[in-house]
Amino acid sequence: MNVLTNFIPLPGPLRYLAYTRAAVARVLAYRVNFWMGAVGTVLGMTIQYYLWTAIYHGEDGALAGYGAVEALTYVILGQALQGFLHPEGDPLGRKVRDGSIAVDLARPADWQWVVFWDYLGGSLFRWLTTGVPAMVLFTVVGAVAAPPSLGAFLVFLVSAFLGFVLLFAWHFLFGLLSFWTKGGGLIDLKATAVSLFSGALVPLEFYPPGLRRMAMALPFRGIYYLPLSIYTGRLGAGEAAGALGWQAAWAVGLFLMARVLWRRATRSLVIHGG
Amino acid sequence: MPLIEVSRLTKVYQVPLRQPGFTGAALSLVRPSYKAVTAVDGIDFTIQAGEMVGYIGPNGAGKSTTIKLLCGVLAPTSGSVSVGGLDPHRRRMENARRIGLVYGQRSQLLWDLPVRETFYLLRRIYQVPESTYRENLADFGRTFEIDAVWDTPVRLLSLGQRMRAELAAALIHSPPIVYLDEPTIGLDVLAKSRIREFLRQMNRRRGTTVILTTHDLRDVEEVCDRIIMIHQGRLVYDGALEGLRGTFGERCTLTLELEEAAGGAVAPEVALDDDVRLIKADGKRVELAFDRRRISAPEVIARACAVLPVRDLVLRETDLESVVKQVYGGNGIENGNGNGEGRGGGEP
Ligand SMILES: Nc1ncnc2c1ncn2[C@@H]1O[C@H](COP(=O)(O)OP(=O)(O)O)[C@@H](O)[C@H]1O
Ligand SMILES: [Mg+2]
Repeated sequence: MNVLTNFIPLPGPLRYLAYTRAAVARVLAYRVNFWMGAVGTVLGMTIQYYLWTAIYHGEDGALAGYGAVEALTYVILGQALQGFLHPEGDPLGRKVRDGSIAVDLARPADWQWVVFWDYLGGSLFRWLTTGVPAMVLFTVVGAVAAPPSLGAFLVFLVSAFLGFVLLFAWHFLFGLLSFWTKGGGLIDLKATAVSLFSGALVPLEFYPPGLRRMAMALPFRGIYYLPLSIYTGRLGAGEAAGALGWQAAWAVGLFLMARVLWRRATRSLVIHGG
Repeated sequence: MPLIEVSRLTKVYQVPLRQPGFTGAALSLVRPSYKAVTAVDGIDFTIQAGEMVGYIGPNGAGKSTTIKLLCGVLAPTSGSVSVGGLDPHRRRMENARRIGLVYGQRSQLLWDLPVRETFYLLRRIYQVPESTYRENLADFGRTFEIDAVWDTPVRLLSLGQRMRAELAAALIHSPPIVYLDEPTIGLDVLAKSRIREFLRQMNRRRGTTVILTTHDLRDVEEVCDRIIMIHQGRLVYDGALEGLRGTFGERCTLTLELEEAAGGAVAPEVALDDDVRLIKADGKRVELAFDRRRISAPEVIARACAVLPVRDLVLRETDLESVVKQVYGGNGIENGNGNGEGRGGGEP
């Protein structure tokens, strides 16, 4: 049995960063796609600027409790975050469709972490290289307000990351469900739930009371509404801390749920092709 | 104790059935119906450390499914697999650290990125020590010419270059067990023989256990000391290559088309000695098999033309399909369970 005794010691969790690096390299490998995405983001932010400037035109007071600057900051930053917190993201779709999951599973790596770090790489890199500079530009020209303090900004970064984990867990759960259903309808439902209830497009205060109550009860507001509200200063320090806790609880809960489902899925998993 | 033990291994796929028409499609949404496909059907074998085993069978026999079961990528429907004392599916991560795998029909390389990125990733994921990594890279680098393609995106590689890179990637962490699923598919003769030579060396120098699926007879002849043959998910032969020598030896088939049907009657005269064997003679078609190492093709053709009114002829290499057919159909396979002196089988 001596062939099996020269074991390599159990690798540490940092090894998954190799997938993050590969994901960044993949974004860079397709420059045209990258630039199209960048242009799309800036264009989307500009459209939001004109749209919401028009909405507030001739309006002296606040709408749904939002003044013009706060509303503009919210929706434009929301747009800048779309590359990072992608409502229609499908982190495991490609891996299942083309069967590369069979390659991942033959490696000593936890698949959920593989998909997570891989997905984080592409999303974070796109955001850092387009969303963030665009946001700086919009702030410098005075189209949006800067965060109230450095502290608020740092808390916002943590909150946005928790939003990412929450969204990832949601995508992962639904991706697993499609192992069984093989349907596209589920994917639409998944993206619609995020777009509608996360506050990605409009602050939730703008919703009619019924819809608003629903959005407040669901976990999706942890993806956009909470981080954006921290950035605009709507949530004070105490409220922000509560928001982080709420996000973390949902993120971890959904992540663990996805983990349990994945454990079950792996028994009945079928891999396509040779 | 054997390294790999497979017992009553069975894998059944549930394939969704699509009823025709709109109503059928709508119905399958509500109540999908499935057809069970048994890809692997009660297979038993054991493999000792250091063996080189050819796992062969025609397309759809269940080779790839078996490999995925051995790797733990799929869970068996019933029966069991044990690799080095572990259940590869339940202990997938532990098992994965000591295996290397090449899927011939699917790439494990990072498709959009230069070759080096895959090696960087694998080095991290398997936590290959720096010295091992350098040594292995130097070793394979020469054999597989990795240096030449190091900075080339994988999608731009030729099939041969890609397959060499796949092999190097599968071996970079020095796995004691290597599964190769059709690693020579689509390669030219030179590339194939280089890979075979490398596998033999690796086995000799490092004692690596190799399980190789293929439907190229040459791979089996030149690399493997033992073969396991499956057909429709069932094991039909397990033993030394010599056990199949009679069938493998006849590497060429000559098909003759005659002027008149009556010619078939004299066909046995061509196959007078052991060198040429008559496989079939019905009407105007006669099929002969012979070993090219013992008698040359022109000689066989000359002999046939001397006694038969030959109008046309086709010469081709015996393929695995017909070998399997002969083994499965005729040569006394008992209970579909192999008749060879299985090397790994039966030992405590
Ligand atoms: N993912 C799958 N779903 C359903 N049937 C499959 C799947 N994979 C393989 N099969 C079926 O199982 C049988 C064995 O396939 P496979 O193991 O790929 O054979 P081989 O590698 O020997 O060509 C075939 O009949 C094939 O159609
Ligand atoms: Mg196959």
